[in-house]
Amino acid sequence: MPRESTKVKVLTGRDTSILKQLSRTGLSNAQQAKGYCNLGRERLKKLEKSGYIKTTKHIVRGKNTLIIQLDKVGKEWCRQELGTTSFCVAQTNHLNHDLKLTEAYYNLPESVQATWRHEGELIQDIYEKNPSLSENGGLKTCTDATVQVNEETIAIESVGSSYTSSIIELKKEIATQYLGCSRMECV
Amino acid sequence: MIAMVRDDIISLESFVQAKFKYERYLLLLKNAGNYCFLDQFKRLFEKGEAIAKNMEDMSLIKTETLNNNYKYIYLTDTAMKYILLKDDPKDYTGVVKNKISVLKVNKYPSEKVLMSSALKFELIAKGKGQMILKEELINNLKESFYKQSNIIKIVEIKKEMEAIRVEYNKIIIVQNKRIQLLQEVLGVQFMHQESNLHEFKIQGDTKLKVLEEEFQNLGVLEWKRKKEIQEEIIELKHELEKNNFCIELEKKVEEQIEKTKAPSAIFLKKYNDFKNQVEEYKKEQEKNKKIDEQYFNLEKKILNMYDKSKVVVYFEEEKLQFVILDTGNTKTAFGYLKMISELKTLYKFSEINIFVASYSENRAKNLLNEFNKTQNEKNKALKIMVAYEKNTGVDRINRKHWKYAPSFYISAEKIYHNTPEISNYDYSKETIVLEIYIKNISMSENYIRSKDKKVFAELKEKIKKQL
Repeated sequence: MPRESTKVKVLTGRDTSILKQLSRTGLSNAQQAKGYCNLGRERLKKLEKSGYIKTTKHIVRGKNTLIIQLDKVGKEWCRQELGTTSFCVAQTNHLNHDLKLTEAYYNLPESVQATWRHEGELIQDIYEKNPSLSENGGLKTCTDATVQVNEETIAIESVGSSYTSSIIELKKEIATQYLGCSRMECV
Repeated sequence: MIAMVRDDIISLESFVQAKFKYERYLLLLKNAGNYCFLDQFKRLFEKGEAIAKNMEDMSLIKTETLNNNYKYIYLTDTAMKYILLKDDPKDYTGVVKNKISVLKVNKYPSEKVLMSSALKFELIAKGKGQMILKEELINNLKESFYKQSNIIKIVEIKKEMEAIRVEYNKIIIVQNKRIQLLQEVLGVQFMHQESNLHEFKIQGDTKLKVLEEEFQNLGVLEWKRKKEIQEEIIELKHELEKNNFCIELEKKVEEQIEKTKAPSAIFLKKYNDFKNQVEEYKKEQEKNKKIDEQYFNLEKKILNMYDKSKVVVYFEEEKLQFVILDTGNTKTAFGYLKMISELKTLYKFSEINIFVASYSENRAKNLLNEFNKTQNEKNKALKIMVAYEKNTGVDRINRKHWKYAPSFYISAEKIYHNTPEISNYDYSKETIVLEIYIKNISMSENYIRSKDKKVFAELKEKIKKQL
């Protein structure tokens, strides 16, 4: 009996949907991979072995969680197949916040997911249109993402535990004033 | 065992159990950072399972699932009230117990908090982490920093000065009364005519001399004048005798008064000595102000490292002990070396010892390998520098006066100076046992709060409607 390959031979639609998501929100966990992309641990292991993703174990809200991020091959695939130029940077010290943002992403219809623009892209846009804002350390904060729904731009903000109302107000102001958003959805 | 029991902060039964049976475990948990794994607790203490169960029944600890196999323990509000308020002088009788607020332990800790706490718990319980306690850390820092400086205990001196001042005032009152009494007894009203007595003596002596001379020169026939002078001399001598007696008496009284004043004079001298000491200390303090500022910055830095970066730093003579509590973060050896370099700007140490306490042997070894690499880089840089110096015949001592240095030398120099030299590095074999607790992945849906799930559902509906 031939031994089963430990690497991915062909990327399936389930694989590509997680790669797209990782390029847009930075990370996800094993539960989200299973729940939204139907990817089990075995498939994730294969994707990892092939260099598409990298997984690490972290404790999030008191639970030992498998965190998934893009690896070199995965990034290259996104560059070539999706034309991604800017990847969302996720930090393991804001896991709770980032997982909430991913959850928001997966709760959007696919057509809206395709319009997702992450924080890095948004900041770059703002600086291009308003070069003076990049001076003196640049913007102190920005909304996490924006999506397009019928010509309308909506800002998406994952509210962290330390956020004050003034921070949220500031983010809202940036979203409406510089990014042309009609409203901000806080999750 | 005798102890004061307080049922105003927590229930009587919980307090008694906490005080007489479980205080050791509660304080250990608190010192470690409020968390540990349940299995860790069972493993570290004899009858640990029963103890943990009883403590949970007494609402002193609670457990929460980490994954399918393991749970972690955290301190409850009751335990926190016991630890933080047991010595509080305030009486909470009449206040509803759940209205007494104390620092609440988060039910869902972050990875950094849970792992650092479990690591500390393991080390302290095994008796290997005395310096991990924050209090010990500060004491060690103060002791090491001010070891050489001879600090005067200003508060104690001021207390002693105040005691002397009170005593001195009492003595002055007694002394004044004694002098007054002495003057009254002796009837020395002339005490304030001191200068007149001496003047009278001089004048009297001169007058006596003149009279005696005149008496000698008078003829036999001038008996009338002679008689007058004789009478005058007798009178004057009598006056002078009286005056001499007064001078003598005054001298005696003065001596007596001086004797009376003696004890207060000793106190006054002592007081003034202390005063000078305090003034000199104040001057010294001005000079030391900069040193104190430096200490303040160092303490701030070390506490920040302890609380935020989970690095325990302490000093043994001139050796820096750098204990890394590896909580699963992505910090590299360079990151830690940067912290050491920052410390070096605030405190001088000649030796650096690094100790990694990790839950994973691989992680610990990898980190130590990274440290090893930095040391190799440093040695390589030194070799480049030495080779250049040898070839060109320049001396590093005069580096400031060199007119030229090639770019490769400058970059080697940067690496050499910016990489602190590590004397020893090792990892803890005691903490590796913790790895099993986080091996299994949880598939619990609790990564999102249930109230947040509603928000996501609402967002989904809103966007759907808009499309």
